[in-house]
Amino acid sequence: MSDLFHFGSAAKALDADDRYGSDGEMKKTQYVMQLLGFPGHPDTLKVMLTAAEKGIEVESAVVDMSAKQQDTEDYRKISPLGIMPALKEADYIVTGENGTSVFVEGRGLGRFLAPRNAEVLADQNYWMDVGRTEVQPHVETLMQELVIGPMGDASYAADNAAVDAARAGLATPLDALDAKIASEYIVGEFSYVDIHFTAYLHLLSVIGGEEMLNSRPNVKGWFEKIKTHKSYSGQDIVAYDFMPSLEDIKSKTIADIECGEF
Amino acid sequence: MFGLFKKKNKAETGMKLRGFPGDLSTVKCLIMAGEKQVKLEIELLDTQAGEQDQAEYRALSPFGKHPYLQEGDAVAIGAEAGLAYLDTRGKGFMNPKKAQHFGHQNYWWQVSEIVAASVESLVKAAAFGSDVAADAEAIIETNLNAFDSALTGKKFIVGDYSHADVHWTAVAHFLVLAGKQDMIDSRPNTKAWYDKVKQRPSYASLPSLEDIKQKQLKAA
Repeated sequence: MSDLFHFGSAAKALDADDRYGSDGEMKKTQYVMQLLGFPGHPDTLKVMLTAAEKGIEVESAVVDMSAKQQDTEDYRKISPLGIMPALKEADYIVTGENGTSVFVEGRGLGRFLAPRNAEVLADQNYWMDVGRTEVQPHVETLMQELVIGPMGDASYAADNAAVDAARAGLATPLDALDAKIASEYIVGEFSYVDIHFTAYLHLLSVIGGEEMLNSRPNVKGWFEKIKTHKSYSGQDIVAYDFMPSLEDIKSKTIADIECGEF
Repeated sequence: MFGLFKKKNKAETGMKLRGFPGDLSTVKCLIMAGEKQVKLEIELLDTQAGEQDQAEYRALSPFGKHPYLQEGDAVAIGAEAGLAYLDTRGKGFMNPKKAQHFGHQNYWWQVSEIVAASVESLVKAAAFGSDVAADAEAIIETNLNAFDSALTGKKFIVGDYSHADVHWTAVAHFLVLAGKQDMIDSRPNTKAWYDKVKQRPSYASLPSLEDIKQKQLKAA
């Protein structure tokens, strides 16, 4: 059995020269979080976006969903129920998007992503709930049938009926989202729900679903804004820049979150 | 469930909840209302009869999500929104202050969602004789094993009583109503935890199986 978190700076010896600065002080890389995820997995992207928004540096490695690595003994040792992604900081491990996002937020910089007004908070959570139940399953079906399935098996035949049903199923929630966006962000101020829908719509866009976004003017305008939205961490980065391309997904490449010099 | 926010200063009256006693999300909100001592005006949404899919309700909740919580002009639809809204009332917040506990709280919330449909189906089978998915009990057993292991040496799931306990109290209550208390009793950590949470005042007025059969929903 191998330790899937044994990569990046964690794989270096504690006394390795490049773990310390010129004066022997510990470098910030010793505190970098480690992420195990998959570039075509919405929940992995949510955590990456949250980290970038909060100025948290993350070293990433792939758990290959096309080979069902999330069901292997090595991954189950980290996440007994196979929930992805997994995040580690020192000896603390948390898995799943719900847990990892709030942990990153708690460690991060800048404003809180959760609205501080109770009514807006409820609105945010309602739309995250809608995203999880009405959008994410369809996005995951499209990813599986069109990208992940063929990655694991060259002879994989997409279930066209499932693909058509997923595309059709997205119409109602995307229409609702289009009607919902009346100001700069989904619930007014930038919040977790913008991160969730960024992950969904990004994956849709890389697998040829741009028309579903472009045909809805408010969704299109919001998504354009998101693509250039500067991180709230104060660092000169745009979270969306860390999102994988279709080629990245197919080549199982996942970005580290690098925030520049503090 | 997410974050810190300003406390609401409205009087603790006039909050309405529309839900169903055999609905796990409704029961979670009843537990939270009990914990935060929020008085609720209750209205039945008969999800067993499909009222959540009827035009009148869909006009309020376009995706049929429930329960529906309303206070003046403010609404919170579904458990995720309802629990966060209710948590802004009363003393303190239930989200842990420590980031590590917050992360694990939300992890266990996510796991509770994995068993939700299975647990609900067992209760509906007990109350209304409806079918249960063949793998329902296996799903619950697998996740309860992980839950029991995580409770080792702990009073509550993460640190103090938190949202995670609210989610799993609802799950445990439904298992008891469904005649599956052995699933709890056979796991010593889960049993000890359940014996603690069921002593809390918020547990006292949760729906009985008879309430579910009679479609009676009572406020805490």
